[in-house]
Amino acid sequence: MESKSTKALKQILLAGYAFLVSGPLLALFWNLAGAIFEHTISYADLLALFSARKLILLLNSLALAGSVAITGMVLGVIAASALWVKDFRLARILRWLLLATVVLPPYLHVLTWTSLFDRINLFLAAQDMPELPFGGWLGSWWVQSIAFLPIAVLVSQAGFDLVGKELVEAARLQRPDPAVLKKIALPLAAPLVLAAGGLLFLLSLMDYSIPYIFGKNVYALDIFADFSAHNQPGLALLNALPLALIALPVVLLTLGGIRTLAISAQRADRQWAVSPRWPGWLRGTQIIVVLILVIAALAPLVTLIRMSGSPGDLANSLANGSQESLYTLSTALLAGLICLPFALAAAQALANAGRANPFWWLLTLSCLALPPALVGIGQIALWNHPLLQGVYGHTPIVILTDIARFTPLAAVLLASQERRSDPLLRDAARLFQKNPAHGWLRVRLPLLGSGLLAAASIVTVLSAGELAATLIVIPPGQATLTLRIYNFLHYGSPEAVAGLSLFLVLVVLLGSLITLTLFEKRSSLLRIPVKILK
Amino acid sequence: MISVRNLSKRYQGENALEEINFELAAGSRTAISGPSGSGKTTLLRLLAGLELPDQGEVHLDGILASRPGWTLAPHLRHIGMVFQSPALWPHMTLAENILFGIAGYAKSEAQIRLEELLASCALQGLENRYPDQISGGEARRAALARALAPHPDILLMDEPLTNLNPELKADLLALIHRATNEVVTLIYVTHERQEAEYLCQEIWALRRGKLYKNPAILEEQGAL
Repeated sequence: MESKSTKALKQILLAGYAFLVSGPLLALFWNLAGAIFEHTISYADLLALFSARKLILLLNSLALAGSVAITGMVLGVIAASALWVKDFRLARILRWLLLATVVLPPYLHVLTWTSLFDRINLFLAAQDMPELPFGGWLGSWWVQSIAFLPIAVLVSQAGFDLVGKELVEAARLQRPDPAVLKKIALPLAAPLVLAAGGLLFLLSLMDYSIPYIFGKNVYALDIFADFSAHNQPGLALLNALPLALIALPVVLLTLGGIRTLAISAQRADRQWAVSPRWPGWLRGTQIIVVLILVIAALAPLVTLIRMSGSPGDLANSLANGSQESLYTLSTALLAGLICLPFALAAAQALANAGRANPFWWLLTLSCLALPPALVGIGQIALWNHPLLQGVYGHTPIVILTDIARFTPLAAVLLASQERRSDPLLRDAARLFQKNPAHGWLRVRLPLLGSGLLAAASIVTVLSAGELAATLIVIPPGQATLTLRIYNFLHYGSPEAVAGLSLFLVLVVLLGSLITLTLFEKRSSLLRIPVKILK
Repeated sequence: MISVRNLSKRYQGENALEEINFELAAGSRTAISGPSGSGKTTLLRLLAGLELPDQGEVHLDGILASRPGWTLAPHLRHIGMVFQSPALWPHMTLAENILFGIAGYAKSEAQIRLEELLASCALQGLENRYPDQISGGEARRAALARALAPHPDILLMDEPLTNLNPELKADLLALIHRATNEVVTLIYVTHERQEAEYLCQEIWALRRGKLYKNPAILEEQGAL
């Protein structure tokens, strides 16, 4: 039994989590209610929500998100089937590369692929061959698909990994491997493959950075643009409602798969003693998709290194962006640290939630599915009060925005670890501890230590690359690295953009590698906190 | 006929099987007993083509089926296998589970085979149920029916009665005895001596990766 004080602390932290992640949304609803009551939202404003322009924007956004999701699912399944083999070195390296690049800000891929296509087209022009079309919707579709592909591959692969080894082997004894893939593995992995598609659909629907750079307007950008024009948070919420209404069923459909993935206690057994025999056409397709994956994972780094010019140019770019770099790293780090107790409380609620009680899962995934711009607008609605000026218009609002956006992800990550830890260890600690603090410090903290560090790292890394919400809440006179890069993408020199982007990529990759190492090799790290405490 | 020559398998430097040699004539029924970790399951997996040997060869009906670095695909070996768990595919009904291995049969032929197996494995009326809608004993019977469906030349059974209560075990043992009469060659892995004696003509023992065709030697040494 937990002591009353422990229970109370958990309840407070859980309430804090709910406030931090859903507070902006609640503030928007409050603001909307006030605006309706005070008639500051006119009928014309409401009618504008149903204009032909909005409808076309929405349809364009849905078409883009749908095509990105389908592309991601198809490529993801093919790549996952290629990686779902005997645990050979290339598959392992690729898996790590994908995990490391999964958190790269999507707009950085624009730079990479534009530069790659420019080079290809230069080559084609020199051969008097027609150039490849790249840009507009086509460019947006390709770059978004590539930027989000690691997620599709990793989630689909987790789906394959969760198919029991004996189920596959029983089928292999009776039918050839392609039939095993089609009839057994794919149907059993389908919930996670569909969840991957759902995630990609949501990510594409909420991202405006890539289409905007390619000169295309999407609905998510319109939320931001409308807010900039009217400065009415309630109206922004109304504006975002169609997007939210589309996103919600996708979230619900994705919920089952993600929940299974996060809380599955089963460790994936990837060892195929005898590699599957795929037909030539499938093997060829797998090789092409794996090549695309390798390019997608390595291209950002290689292109940015090439583009950043001489070491002198790179040093200049970094010196010019040093203030923004420092600001970004400090706010991101603070967000990563502050979110931890709240994420941990939520993780326990998530890990213990049965299927009959999906409240915390719904809250967590719904908040992850909010358009980032709306989170930023919600923060303004929440903190723009005369008594809260220390937050509004100052650095704390940037940190709170990062916390609101990424704490749900940290909670899912910690829930996964919580679920995989042996509950008997906790029970044993409760039996033998001198007091709750003694048990927590000597047993719980060492068990959770690596997961907490991993969660902090992932929130820090994602916060460092955050753009859409930060753009709205950034205090006057301040800029994050991502904002500077994004501005430079429009009017800066390529060397400056590449130099700063390279720095950001290295920070992100380093952070992800730390996260992965801590999360994967937690057993050997368990003793470190104990040694420190001793 | 199964012919195994100098078969060895190592996991992380440890010998799981060490220079196994035997020949089994068609129609023989052999039990292999041994404690956990003695290499019983590894031997079955090597015969089924689910593992690659580190040394030695497996021949089936005179055809090379496994050697280091190469195996004949499992589905081409005419081998049926019942695992320790039923391993029924959860997204398929029992009928679909049983029919999976005979997808090449004509529809009417497959239906006749299905009905035969449902009858011989006491599964009538359950064919449209999913694995999560049947009991543990029914799942074991369904796993046996699935393995028998394509008329395998060899049936491998890996402790198929583990974790069942004594009455259910006795019922299933009798059923296995009846249903496997048509099978040409049976290799039955078990901890239980009674099961082995009831089903098989010969009982071999595996200890630390070594095969003893005369377990009496081990009994004399006090190791059985």
